Amino acid sequence: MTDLDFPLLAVGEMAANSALISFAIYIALVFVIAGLANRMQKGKSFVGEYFLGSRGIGLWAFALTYAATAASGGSFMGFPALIYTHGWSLAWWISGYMIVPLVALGLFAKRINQVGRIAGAITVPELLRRRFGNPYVGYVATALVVFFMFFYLLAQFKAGAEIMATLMDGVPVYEAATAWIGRTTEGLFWIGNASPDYLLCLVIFAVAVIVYTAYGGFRAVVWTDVMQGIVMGIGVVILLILTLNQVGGLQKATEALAEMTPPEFATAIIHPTSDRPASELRVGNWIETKSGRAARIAGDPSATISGIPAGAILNEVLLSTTPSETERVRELIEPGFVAEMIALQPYAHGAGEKGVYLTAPGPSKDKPLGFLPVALAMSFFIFWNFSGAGQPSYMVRQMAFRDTQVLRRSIVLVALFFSLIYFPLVIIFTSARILLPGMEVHPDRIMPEMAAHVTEIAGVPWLAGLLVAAPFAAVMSSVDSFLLLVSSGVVRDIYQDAINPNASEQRMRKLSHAVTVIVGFLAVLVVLNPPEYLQTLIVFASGGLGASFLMPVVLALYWPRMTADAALFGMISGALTILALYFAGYLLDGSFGEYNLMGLHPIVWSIFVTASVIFSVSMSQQPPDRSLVEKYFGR
Amino acid sequence: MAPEESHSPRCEERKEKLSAEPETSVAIALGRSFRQSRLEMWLMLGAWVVFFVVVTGICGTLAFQPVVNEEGLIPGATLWGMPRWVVLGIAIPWLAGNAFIIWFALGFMKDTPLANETADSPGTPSDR
Repeated sequence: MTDLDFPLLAVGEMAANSALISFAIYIALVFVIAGLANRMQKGKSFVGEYFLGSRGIGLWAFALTYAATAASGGSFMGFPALIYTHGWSLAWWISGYMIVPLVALGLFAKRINQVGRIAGAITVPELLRRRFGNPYVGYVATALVVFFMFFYLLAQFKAGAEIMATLMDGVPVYEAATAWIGRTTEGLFWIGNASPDYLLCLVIFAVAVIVYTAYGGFRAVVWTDVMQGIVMGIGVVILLILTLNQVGGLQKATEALAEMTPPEFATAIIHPTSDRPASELRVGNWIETKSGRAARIAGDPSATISGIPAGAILNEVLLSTTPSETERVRELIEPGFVAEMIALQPYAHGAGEKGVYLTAPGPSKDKPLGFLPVALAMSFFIFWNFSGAGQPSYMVRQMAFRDTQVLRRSIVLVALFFSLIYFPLVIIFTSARILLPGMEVHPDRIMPEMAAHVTEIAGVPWLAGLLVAAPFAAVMSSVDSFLLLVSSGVVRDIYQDAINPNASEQRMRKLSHAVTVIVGFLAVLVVLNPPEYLQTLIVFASGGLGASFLMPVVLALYWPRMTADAALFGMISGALTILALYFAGYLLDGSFGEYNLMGLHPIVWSIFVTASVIFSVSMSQQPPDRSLVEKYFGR
Repeated sequence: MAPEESHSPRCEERKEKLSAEPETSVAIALGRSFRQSRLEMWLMLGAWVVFFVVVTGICGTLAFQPVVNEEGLIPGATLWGMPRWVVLGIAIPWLAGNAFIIWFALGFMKDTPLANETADSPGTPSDR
């Protein structure tokens, strides 16, 4: 063992079984909630209840549905992976959340709720259409919501399926079902290309979310969000306590982290030193190098490495460069092989530098300036506050609270919730570098791996289920919201407004259920073989929505002089700014990603562009109709 | 509990002034509820600017300084078990942010009567 006496174990069968039991209980509760919500729909206007909970959402429900929707899968998958990879610089990266509850809720909530009530609007496009008395404003807004939100849905469905696959790993029933699905779907068009475990989890996850969302509507989504928010909060607190206990306190963890240097990626030639066949090696295994260091086989964890002949070359191997880390994983090294490292790729920033995980800009594999230069840190402080505020999924929640007392108290609750989640996550996953070395091979799995690891060490493996349920809950609470948002756009803003204004309650009910199911089904079909740049698509969709709606909605709520044309051009210019900067990124880098002009994130540029367009267009036109302005600003 | 809004001579004066504005502006009497919301928005934006400047200033100054030397962690590089810049630039501002949010939401924000649905009620066709 090392001088740092941190235990290192693999995930046990008990943790897998407890995860399955926790998951089953969790899903059962979700369906009970959907059933209760469905009963609440009786005797109320269907569309208003189904898409907006009849504007009667109270304190805990409003605060937690808002917070849970904000804390999507990214908070529990992508964010921990970034912390693990880049260290304490992520505290600066996420620091904008210290003021997000004030900005996001303070900027919109009171006014959007009030204007929504005056307008009788149920969706954000409908609110904009009525505020300006112009149907085209509504159609453009609907098109933008449906377009960008669909990317979001894809990403969240994929994240849900992946978390579930981690949760179920090692459960005998699941393994048998996976094998059966693999045999059944082999050779089938499109479906056959998906890995069986991913396919099974995707279908279970999608069916669960689509059914409870379609059946229970907005109220079911809000109530399940409350439960999911509680699960997230409790999960993070327990994980923090167990982690700090196992690293020997924060000071000791920081001292250990100060000694660490970034790993190196390399190509390796595997040489056998015994009769053991190389086909027994798997992705994630540790092997010893010729120089006596430890290297970990990287690559897609769902793939297996089979039939590696002596002298075979592995293109993705992670080489530990920290001596204490090498000592810690020595007990995990697979005997019978030695790796000859060739073509080493040191980090572009931070290679060989001690203390790099404690400072900004943080180590980076491919960025010479590091992970977080100052300009990018500033951009993210703006991004979290204003892009978050500009998301229609949050806006629609702000149209649903009961009164301003609920709003005021909710702002405080959301602030406490974010403080409880985000800063502790940085502490947990900087410490994770010490407890679980070499997770750069698949950093997205660090959250479930940590949950299983710390509970196993603490002798409470059954608790892993609850901890892993936290990211699962986060994904579910986002998927259901996005699903409902897309279906409300189709049903309310397109069908009822443009096609059949006199649609009966019964027809609207059937159509709402059908559209929710169809949108979910389409998303599942696409995400069976997810696009390569899915994580980038999430940021793209989020930026696109923020760019399209932030300034147009803010100014629609606070500037009486704004015209309908300005709203139209504002939304379109915001979307085009994002598209242009992503297209520039594609041209310059050859891959799908944003171009940070002058180091600033595209959302920052879109704010300038949309504000300028809205002001210019409004001031070049006649003022809007006086009666319309009096209606929305005269109270 | 936040205080309720009240009519005042200044409000009436403001209404009259706005009503007298030329035709190039919207020229309507802005409601009390709207003006209160707008005041809250400006204060909130001001608070965001303050936190943005504080966090960027402290982190931009301290976060890039080396924390280790040949002998390990430099004395004073950590505070409360975390890197010093994290405590000064993020943890303390975060606590201050929470304190400000509590004051803003429970002490400054006013309860405003939200409108009854004067247009179409939910579930009915929209006004086109």
